[in-house]
Amino acid sequence: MHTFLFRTILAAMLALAASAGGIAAARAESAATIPVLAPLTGFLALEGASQRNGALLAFHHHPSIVIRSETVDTGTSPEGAVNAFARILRTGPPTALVAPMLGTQMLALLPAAAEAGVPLVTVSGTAEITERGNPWVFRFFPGDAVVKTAQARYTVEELGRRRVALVHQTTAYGQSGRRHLLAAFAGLGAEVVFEEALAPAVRDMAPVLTKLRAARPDVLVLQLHAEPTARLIRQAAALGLGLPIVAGSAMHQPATAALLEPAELSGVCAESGASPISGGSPAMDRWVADYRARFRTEPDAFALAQYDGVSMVLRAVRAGAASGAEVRRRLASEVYEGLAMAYRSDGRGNMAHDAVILCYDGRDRTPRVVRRYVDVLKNG
Amino acid sequence: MTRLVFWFADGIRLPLIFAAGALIAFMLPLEAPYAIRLLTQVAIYALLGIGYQFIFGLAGAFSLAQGAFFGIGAYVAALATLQWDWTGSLTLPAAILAAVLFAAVVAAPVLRLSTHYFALATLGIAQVLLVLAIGCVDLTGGSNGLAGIRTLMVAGIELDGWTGMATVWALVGLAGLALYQVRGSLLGLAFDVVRTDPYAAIAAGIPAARLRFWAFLASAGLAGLAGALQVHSIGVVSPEVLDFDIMVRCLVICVVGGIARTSGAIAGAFLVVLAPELFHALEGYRLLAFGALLLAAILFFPEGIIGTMEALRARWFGRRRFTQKLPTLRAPGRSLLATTRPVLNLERVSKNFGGVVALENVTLKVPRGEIFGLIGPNGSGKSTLVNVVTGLVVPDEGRVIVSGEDMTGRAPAKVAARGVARTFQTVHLHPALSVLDNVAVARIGDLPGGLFGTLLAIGSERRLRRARSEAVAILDALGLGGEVLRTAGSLPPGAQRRLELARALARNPEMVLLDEPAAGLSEPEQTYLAERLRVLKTRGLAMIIVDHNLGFLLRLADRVACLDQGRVVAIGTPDQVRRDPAVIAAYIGPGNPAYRPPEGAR
Amino acid sequence: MTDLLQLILSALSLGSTYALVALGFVLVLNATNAVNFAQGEMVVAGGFLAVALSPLIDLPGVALLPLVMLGTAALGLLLSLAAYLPLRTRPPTAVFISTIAFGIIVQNAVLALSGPEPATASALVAAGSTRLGEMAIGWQSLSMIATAAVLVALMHLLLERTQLGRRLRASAQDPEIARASGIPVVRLIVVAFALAGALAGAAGLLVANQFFLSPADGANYMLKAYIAVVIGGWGRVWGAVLGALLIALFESFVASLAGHLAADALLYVALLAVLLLRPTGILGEAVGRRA
Repeated sequence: MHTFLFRTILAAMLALAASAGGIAAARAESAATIPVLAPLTGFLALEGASQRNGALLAFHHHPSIVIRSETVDTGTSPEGAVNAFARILRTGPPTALVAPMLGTQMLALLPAAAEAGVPLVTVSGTAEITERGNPWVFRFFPGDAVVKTAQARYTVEELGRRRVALVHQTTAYGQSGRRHLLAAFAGLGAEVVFEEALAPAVRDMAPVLTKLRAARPDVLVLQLHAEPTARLIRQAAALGLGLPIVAGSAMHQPATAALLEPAELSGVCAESGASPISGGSPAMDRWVADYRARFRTEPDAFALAQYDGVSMVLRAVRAGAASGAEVRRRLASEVYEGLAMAYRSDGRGNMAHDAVILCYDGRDRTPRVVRRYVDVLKNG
Repeated sequence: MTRLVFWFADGIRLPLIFAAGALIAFMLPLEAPYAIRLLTQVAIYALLGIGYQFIFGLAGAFSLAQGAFFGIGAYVAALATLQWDWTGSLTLPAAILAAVLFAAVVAAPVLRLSTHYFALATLGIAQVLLVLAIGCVDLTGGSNGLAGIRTLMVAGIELDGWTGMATVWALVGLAGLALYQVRGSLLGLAFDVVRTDPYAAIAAGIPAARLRFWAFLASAGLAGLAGALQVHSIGVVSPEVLDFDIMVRCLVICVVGGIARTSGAIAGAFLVVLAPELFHALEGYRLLAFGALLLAAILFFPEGIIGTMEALRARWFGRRRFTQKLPTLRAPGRSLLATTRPVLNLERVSKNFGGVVALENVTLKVPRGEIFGLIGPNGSGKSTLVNVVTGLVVPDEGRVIVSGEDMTGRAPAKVAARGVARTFQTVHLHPALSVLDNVAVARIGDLPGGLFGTLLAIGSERRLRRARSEAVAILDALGLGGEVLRTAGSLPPGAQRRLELARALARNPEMVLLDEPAAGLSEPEQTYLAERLRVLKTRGLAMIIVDHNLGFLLRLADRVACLDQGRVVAIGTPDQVRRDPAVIAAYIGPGNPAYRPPEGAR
Repeated sequence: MTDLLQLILSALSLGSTYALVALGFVLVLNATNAVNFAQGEMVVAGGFLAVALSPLIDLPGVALLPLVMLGTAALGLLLSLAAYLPLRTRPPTAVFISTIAFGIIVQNAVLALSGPEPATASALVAAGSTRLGEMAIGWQSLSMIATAAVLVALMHLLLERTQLGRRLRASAQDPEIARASGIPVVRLIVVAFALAGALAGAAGLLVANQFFLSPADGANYMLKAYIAVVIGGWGRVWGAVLGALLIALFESFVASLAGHLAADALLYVALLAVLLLRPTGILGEAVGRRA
C-alpha cells in the first residue's frame, strides 16, 4: 500500500515538474493525463482497488509515455464521483479517465464527461451507461447483456437445467443483472421457479435457502457481490443443498474463493469476462506474476479489463492521439487485442463482447475456464 | 446605517465575513469549475444543516430523519422532472411540500416520543424509506436510481455553474436569515428553554409541543429543498441520498459547526465537503484522516467551531455586553378582582397509582385573593394534588374546575392557558439565560404574533422588546430589579425562588401553585418572600402553597388543608388546623419519627 | 418442521452475536447514559483481529477468544479515554459524534491494515455439520450459540456476584447516589467500555467464520444493538439480550414468509409499532424518569 502511494505521489511530482518545464508540450506524442477515479472506500472498495491496480499496472508497462495521473477515491455516492471529476478538471481536461465501476456514479459522470470531452474508460457492468447515447463512455468489461446471456446459456444449454432459482442483490449490480437474467432465461425457455432479493448486509441465509429448496429448482443462479456470494455458498453447503450453482462475476474474484474451503466450491461455476489466475497463456501468467509482485494480492478480471482498457488508451496515445477527442475516435473505431480478449466498440461504447464460464473442481480455489463464449450477442 | 455597521462589528460576524471572503477569494480564481462544484455542494449541505438546526439545534430533538427528508426532496424533484417535465420553479416547491407533508404526517405519533425513542423512531422511518427506494424499482429505478435530471431552470433561465451556485447560496441566505430571526426572537428564547429544561418550559407556559412541530416541519422543508437542489446539481438520484451517511454528515455539520447557529451550519458544511477533498492525496486513508479530524474537532471545539471562535473573541476582547439599554417598565396584566367565583374547585377527586391511593375523594375550593396552604407528611398526596390541578396527572374520578370551566383531563398547556401557573419543588430555571429573559420568555403566551410575525420582523423583534419591558416590571415588584442582567444560575437560592415566582406571574395567572417556595431560604429571605406574596394577594391572585416549613406556611396562609394518605383530614384557618388532632396524628403517627413540632405552634 | 428448526438454529446463532453486541452496548449505556456508536466497529475490529491471529496459531477459533477479547477490551478502553471521558460533561450529542468519529477511524484503520478483501476466521471448534434426519446441524452454529451463552452467563455472574458488578448496577440505577457513596464512577465507566469492547470483539470472532466480515460491516451490528436495547427496555441488561434474539428470529421468520427485502422494512415498521404502542419498550424502562 505504501509503495504505490509513494509511487503515485512521485509520478505526480515528476509529471508536474515535467509540465512546469514545458517538456510535456515538447513531447506531446508521448504524454498523457489519465486520472484514476475509483471507489476505494465503502462497499465497493475491493473492486475499486482492482480498478486502480489494473490502471497503475498499465501505466507501469508503458514506460515510454509520460503519464500524469492522480488516484481519487469516489466513495460510493454519485456526489463523490462528480466532485472528483470536477477536481480532475481543474488542471484542464485529461486525455482519458479511468472511471468508477459503480453504475450510479457513471450515470452522474456521463453528461459532465461529454461536456468536457473526456473519454471514460470503465469496467462497470451496469447496462444503462451505454444505453444513453453518450459517445464518451467505453466499457472494457462485458456488460450485463453479454455475461448474463452467457450465464443463462451455460445453465440451460450445458448443464441442461430448466428450473432456476435466482437470488440477486438489491444493489445496482444485482438489480441490473436480474433484469438481464430474467430476459435471457425467458428466451431460452427455462422457468425461474424462485426469486429473491437480498441486501448485502443479510447474514443469515437460512430463510432464503429453505424457501428455495421448497420450490424444487434444479439449479441455483446467483447475482450477488463477493462476500454475500461466499456466504450463501458456505451456508448452502452446510445445509447440504446439493444444487449446482452458477454465480455472477463476483464469484470469480479470488477474494471470494479465499473465504471458502475448496470442498464448499465443488459444483460451483461462475461467469466472468476472464479469469487471470486460471492462466491460459504465457503472457497472462507473466501478467499475473507481475500483478502479484506489485500489489501483493490476487488479480481479478476487473483489474485485467481495466488494464486492457488503459493499455488501449495508451496505444492510441503512442499512435499520436493527444486530446480526449482523438483518443475517443480511436477507441470507437479500432480493434485492440488485449490480454483477456479482443476489444472493439459496438458503436455504443461496449468494448468487450466475450464471456467465460469458470468452474471449481472442489480441490483448490483456482477455477478452470470450461466454456468461452465469443461475441455472445452476435453468435447467440 | 450606523446600526447596520455596529451590527456587523458585533460578535463574531466580522471575522466570519473575513474568513468567508478570504476562502472565496482563494478558491474561485484558482480552479473555477472545481471551486464552483464544491461551493455549490457546501451550500446544499448548509441548507440541509440550517434545516436541521431547527429541530436539533433549536428544539433539541434528536431527529434522525433529516436525511430521509433530504431523500424525499431528491426523489420528488427527480420524478417530477422526468415524468412531467417540470422545471425548477415547480420541482423545488414540490420537493419542499412533499417533505413538509410527510413530516406533518409522521409528526403526530413520533413527536410525542422522548429522546432515544424519538431518535430510533425517526431512524426507523428513514430506513423504511430507504428500503422502499431500493424495492420499488418501477418508480424509483431501484438501486440504479434515475439519471438524466437536468440542471436547475427557473422562469426559463438555466441556472448552471456560477448562477446555480449563486442561487443556492441565495437560498442559504434566506434560510439562514430565518433561523437567525427565530433565534433572536422571543420564540428563540422559548426554544432555548424547551431544549434546556422541559420543566422550566412547563413552568413558563411555553407550548413546547407546538414549537417542536413547527421546528420539525421547518427542518423537513429545508431538507427537501436541499435534496431537490442536490438532484438538479448532480443530475442523478439513487438510494444513497437516503443513506444514514447523509444523516451523519448532517449531525457533524451542526455539532462541529455550532449548534443552533446559521454560521455553525455553514462552517460545518465547509468542513464536511472540503475536509475529504483536502485529504485526497491520502487515497484510501482519507476517511481515516477525516475521522481523526472529526474526533479532534469535537474534543477541542466542544462548542463547535463558531462557539470556539466566540469564546476566543470573548477572551481577547472581553465578553460581549448586554448592549441593549434597559427596557422601560411596562406593567403587564389586568385586575383580577372583577369576579368573585372561586378560581379553583376540586370535586371529589381520586387518583390511584397501581393500587396505591394517592388522592381519595378530595374536595376543595380556593377563591380569589386567598393563600391556601397545603400540608401533610411525605407521600400524603400533596404533589399529586398539584399535578392534578395543573393537568400533569389525570384523576381517576372527580372534576377539576378552573374559573368555572371544567378542566378535568385537559392537557397541561390548556390548563396553563386558563390562568394556572406553577413552580416546581426543585429550581427549574435556565441557568445560562439572564434573569430578565427567564421571565420575559413566560410572556410568550400572552403576546400576539407567531412564527410568521417573527420571521417578518427584520431586525430586532418588537414582541421580544415588549416582553422584556414587562419582565422588568414584574422583577421590580419582587425585588429583583437590580439583578436583571445577571445569569439566573448566578443568583443565590432565595433569589432563584423569587425568580421562579416572577416567571409564574409573568404568565398573568389567576392562580399560582407554589411547591416548596421556602425550601432552602434563610429567615430574612422567607420573611421577604412572604411579604411579597401578601402584596400579590391584595391584587386578587389565588395561591396554593405546599411547604414543609409549617412555620412559614401557617403564618402566611389564609386557610390550610392537611392531607394524609390522600385524604383531607383537616381544613380551616391555620389556628384550627394546627390544633386539629388528626393533623397531629398524621405528623407524629407511626412511620413519622422525624416529626418536629411546627415552629409557629409554640 | 425441519425447515422451522433449521431457521431457529440459524437465527439463534446470528442472534447470539447480536446479543453480545447489545449487551456491551447496554453496559456502556448504563454507565454513561451515552449511545456508543462505535460498538459496531468493535465487532469488525475483533473479527479482523481473529482473522489476523488465525494463521499464527494453529488452534480452533475458541482458543483465540481470550486474546481477541483482550485486544478489543483495550480498544474499548482507548475509546473511553479518547472519545468519552473528555466529553463527559458535554451534551450527549457530542459523545454521539465522537463515537461515530472513533468508529470511522477504526473502520478505516482496518481497511488500511488488512485491505478491502472480506475475511473469514477459523471455525470455533470444528467445521462441518452433522445431520439429524433432514436437518443439518452446523458445528459452528452450535458452538456460536454455546460460546455466546457462556459469555452471557459469565457476565451474569460478574454483574450479580462481584463487587464490580454491584457497583456497575448501582451507578446505572442512580449515578448521583453512586458518586455520593464513594463509588469510583470514572473507573467504572472505563471498565464498562472495556467490557463492551470485549463482548463486541467476541461477537466479531464468532461471526467471522460462518457469516464473514468486511471493514464496512460495523453499522449493521450497531443498529441491531440499538434496536435490541430499545425493544428490550432502555437500560435493561437482560432485556437487551432478549431483544437481540428476538430481532434475529423476527428477521429470519419474516424473511422466510415475506422475503428478505420486506423483512428489512418490516423490522423497522415493527420497531415503530412497538415505540408507538409501548413507548418504553416491550419490557418497560429500567429506570423511571425523575422530575
